[in-house]
Amino acid sequence: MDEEDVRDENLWQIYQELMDDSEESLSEYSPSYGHLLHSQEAYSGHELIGVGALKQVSKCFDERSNRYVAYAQLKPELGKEFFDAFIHEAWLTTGLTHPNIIKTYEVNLDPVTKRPFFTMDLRSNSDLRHFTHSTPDLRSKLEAFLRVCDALSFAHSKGILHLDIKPENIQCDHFGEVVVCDWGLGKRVSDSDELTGRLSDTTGAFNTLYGEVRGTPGYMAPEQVLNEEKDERTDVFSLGAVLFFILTGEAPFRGQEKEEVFRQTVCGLIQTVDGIDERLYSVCEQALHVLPQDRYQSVLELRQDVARYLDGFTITVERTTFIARGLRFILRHQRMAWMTLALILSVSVVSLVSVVRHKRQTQEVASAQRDKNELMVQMRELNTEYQVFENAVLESRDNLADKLSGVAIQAIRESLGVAEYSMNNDPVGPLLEASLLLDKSLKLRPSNNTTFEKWVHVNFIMLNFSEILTRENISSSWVVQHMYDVASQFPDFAYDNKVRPSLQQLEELFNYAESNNKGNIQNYESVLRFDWGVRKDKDGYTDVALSLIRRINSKDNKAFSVDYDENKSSLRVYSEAPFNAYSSLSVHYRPLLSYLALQNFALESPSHFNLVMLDHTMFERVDLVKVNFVKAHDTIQSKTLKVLRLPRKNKYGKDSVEEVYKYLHTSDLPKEFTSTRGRR
Amino acid sequence: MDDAHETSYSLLARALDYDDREAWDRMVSSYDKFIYYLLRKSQINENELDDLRQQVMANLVRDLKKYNRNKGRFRVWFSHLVRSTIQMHYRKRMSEERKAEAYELNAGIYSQPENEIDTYFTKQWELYLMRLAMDRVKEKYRGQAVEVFELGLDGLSTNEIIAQTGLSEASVYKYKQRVKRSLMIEISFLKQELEPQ
Repeated sequence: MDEEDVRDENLWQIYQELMDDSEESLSEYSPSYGHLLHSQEAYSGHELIGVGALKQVSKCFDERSNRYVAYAQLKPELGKEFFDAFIHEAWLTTGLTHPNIIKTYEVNLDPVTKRPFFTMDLRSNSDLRHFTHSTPDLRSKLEAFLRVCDALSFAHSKGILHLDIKPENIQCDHFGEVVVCDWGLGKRVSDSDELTGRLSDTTGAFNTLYGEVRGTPGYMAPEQVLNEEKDERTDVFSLGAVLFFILTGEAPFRGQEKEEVFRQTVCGLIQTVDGIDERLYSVCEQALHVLPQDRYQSVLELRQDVARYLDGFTITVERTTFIARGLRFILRHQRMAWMTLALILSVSVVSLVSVVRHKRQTQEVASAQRDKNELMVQMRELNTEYQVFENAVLESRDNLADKLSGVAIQAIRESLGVAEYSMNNDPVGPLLEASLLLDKSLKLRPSNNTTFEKWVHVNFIMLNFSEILTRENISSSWVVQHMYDVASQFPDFAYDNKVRPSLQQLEELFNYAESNNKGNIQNYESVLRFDWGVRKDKDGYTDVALSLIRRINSKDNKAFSVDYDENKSSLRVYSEAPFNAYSSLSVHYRPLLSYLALQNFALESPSHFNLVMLDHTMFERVDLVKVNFVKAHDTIQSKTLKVLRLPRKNKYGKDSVEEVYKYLHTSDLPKEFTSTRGRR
Repeated sequence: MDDAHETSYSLLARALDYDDREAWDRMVSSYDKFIYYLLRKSQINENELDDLRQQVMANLVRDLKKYNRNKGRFRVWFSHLVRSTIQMHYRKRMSEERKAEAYELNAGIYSQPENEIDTYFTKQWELYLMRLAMDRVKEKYRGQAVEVFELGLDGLSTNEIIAQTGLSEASVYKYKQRVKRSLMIEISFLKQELEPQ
């Protein structure tokens, strides 16, 4: 062969190689094709980036598409009953192609485990929360908000609700890219679109599987809290909450407990924050109305108002005149008053219901739920009344101030006055709210004497003396004057529901009041009750309560002695006058005996004893044999009482055992009590 | 008319469907070159070569418009056309001169059985495409890649190429692969252009 033949032969060999369609040859000359041909697993290098209620999401490499993606899979502990719900979440977004909505790439089953998974666009890890905190520029934040509105408008046009709009579910970077993600709670509301009705068929089942209340406290709408009908306006509400977050860096409804946040949500108690732009605040308010029909009716309307703000136009909800603005301020606070009233009413009815239930000794949870729902309806009605009221805009500033304080006074009376209520619920929440209302009312009308006195009273109960001393005493009441005197003795007392004085300080206060005869005892009992409600560690409370009991009963030079044996956990009392465990003559207060963490109580008295003073006590054995006679008028409850020894006769010579029996409610009838009957 | 895939449209199709003179000329000249190359390779008598070439081309141009892609692959059709033209030529010459030896002597490969002729034709056509492809690749690569590849074509082993160029083994491999990949792409285009589907 000559040289040319060699070349030809080699060239031809190469031609054969190149035209060879075997896998080996293909991967040699097309390495990328070979990569696809030989990649065993489609996704590799999983790196967990987030866990939700239903799914976990990892970052991984899509071997075939040659890029990083977010890979969502059902949490391993969740079984086949969640398969469809999970798949539907993915399908929900595959139907939504929009630049501001997360893209879903593949929905499939894992080839090995056969469990469903889907892959999405992998976003930067900066969400709206981070963006809000790191961007000082309001305009860019509002523009990002408009993008979120665009995404939701589009979804709604396809009949899909998101139902979990919150800053964490909005991806947002500094290049201005905004993407709404995590459609896990999303729901198809109409089947009018090109997609089939498959989604809505199963969302019901998903609901039951997943629990009733779904969403994020602080951002979810009242109808989500109450598990009622949801529609576009539910997302409008959450968007309002997100706008609020953008303006303040916080959710519009906050609280330490989830229940607290829920309560504020259904009552429309938006946080008050200073320094917010008034016009944008009114946009938030408009979106955050409790009733869907009062909100913006579509995301578009909400979007328009924010866009108008950015363009410097008048917002539709904005009232331009100064007077109107003033009115709106008042109305805003007046709404709070109404809402609080509604709340107090509902709470007291709830407690009433529970007391009734107690008395009947039934525990029908279902009926309680029904009662609660009725109460919610009542609250709604009150809310509607308020709306009517708002439209009328007839009330003067002073009237509003008085209304606020009226509600507050009602709150104080309810929380500290009615025995049934205060026994079963701590008075802390209503008192704190009353304090807030009184603050507002005083700001509106500082000269109202009643409001002022109640304001002093509430702050006194909370032991916030330094706050009291910031205002001049305008009252002529001696009770208020006494409170001022006491406050000026302890000017450093600046306590609230979180920060409390030591028990020693509490006792010092009581001792000072006792020896200087300052104020009525009722005040100090209220102080005690509030303290009991907020104090976590209740060790040593017996001493504090005993010192108050001593004080109440050491009057009129009658003999009174107390023999307290801490080791035997017993208290023996001799009282010449009728023993009094109440801080006032009214029986509607909590008996001081209920603060004593003691097992045994014995009373000797030539006078009488009213059995109601044993209500809610923690005693196991009570010996009243040496009491002249025992009165019984009201039902009492005790979870601990095992032995109750009674004298033979009551005041009227009737059988005291027979008489008492009617009013006694304990978990079991005391054994000794029965045997006393037997011996007679 | 399906003109969605402009790139894969053969020159023939363009020439016919668009009455594209330039496409036609380019195609004919490509085939002409191949025929010349083929006839030379086939040890055809120098005296007959130009004559044969003209006859083949005349038949090709006459029949191309009748080529029906549904009746078999172009290459087979082409091979058949070339073979029959050449054989006709010699049969005619034989009857004219009545000299059997002349046929034996001058027909060269075309006195072989048909399937061998077709195999030979195919190989030559493929080599022709490779040459065209090489020409195009050479235009694209200015560096050592083509040089290394050609050393391989001349029969040098990898070690000999390393010794001659001072390149690393990885580089030699990389250069060869790169040229081969380009050749593959060029071949694909050429086949699309010259082998109407």
